[in-house]
Amino acid sequence: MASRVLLQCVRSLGRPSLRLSAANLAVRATAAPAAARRPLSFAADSRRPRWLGQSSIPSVGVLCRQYGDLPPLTLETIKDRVMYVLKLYDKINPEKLQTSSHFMKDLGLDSLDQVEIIMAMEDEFGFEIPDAEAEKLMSPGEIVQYIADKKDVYE
Amino acid sequence: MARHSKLQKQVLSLYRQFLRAGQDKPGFIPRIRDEFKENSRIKKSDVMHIEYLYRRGQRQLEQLKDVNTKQLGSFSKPAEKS
Repeated sequence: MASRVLLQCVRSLGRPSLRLSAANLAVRATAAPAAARRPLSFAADSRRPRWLGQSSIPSVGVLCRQYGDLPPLTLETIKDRVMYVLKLYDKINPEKLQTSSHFMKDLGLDSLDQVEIIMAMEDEFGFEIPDAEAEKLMSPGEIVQYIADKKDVYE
Repeated sequence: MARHSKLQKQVLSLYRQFLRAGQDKPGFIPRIRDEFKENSRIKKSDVMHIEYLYRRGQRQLEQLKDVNTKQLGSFSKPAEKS
């Protein structure tokens, strides 16, 4: 079955009607073997226009794999995102919010609100925080430190 | 309070499970928050009451997680014009 897909890929490469030029294609040199390594993506109809556009690159020199990922985290970006999420929370006064302000002592929240805040952080950063460690995080600075530890962010 | 007691931890984890379960179904989150806020006023020493409410909450969580539960609404009485 893989050989049949390979044949289809090679045949469609030869068809001149598929020569669609795009400016950004020059950066990604997609070779025929590299294209054939994704037989499943060729089969999916939604990917077809994109694949057809890339098939016009003639040079086979550079084999290129493409991955998708989020931009890398830094302490600054983590802090900005944490503060942004906290400012959106309706029980916190945005003017009084500092990096070192304690949720219970300075901002007057209780443990239920703290659970909600930690859940909002989980949704923002996309990973689970277990209960045992979540109940210890009592200020934005601690949250930033915890996330940096979990995500291996150094400075 | 520095450390939560075991019962407090159970209540907080129940709250978390409720919020997660109620995120996709409209109308549950305000009710969950009000209910927990109201019951947070109970004295810590009233363990029987707290445990009763905890068991009741677990049963309600099962009902919430059921696929057939879609949304929550409520009726409120308009203010009396007398």
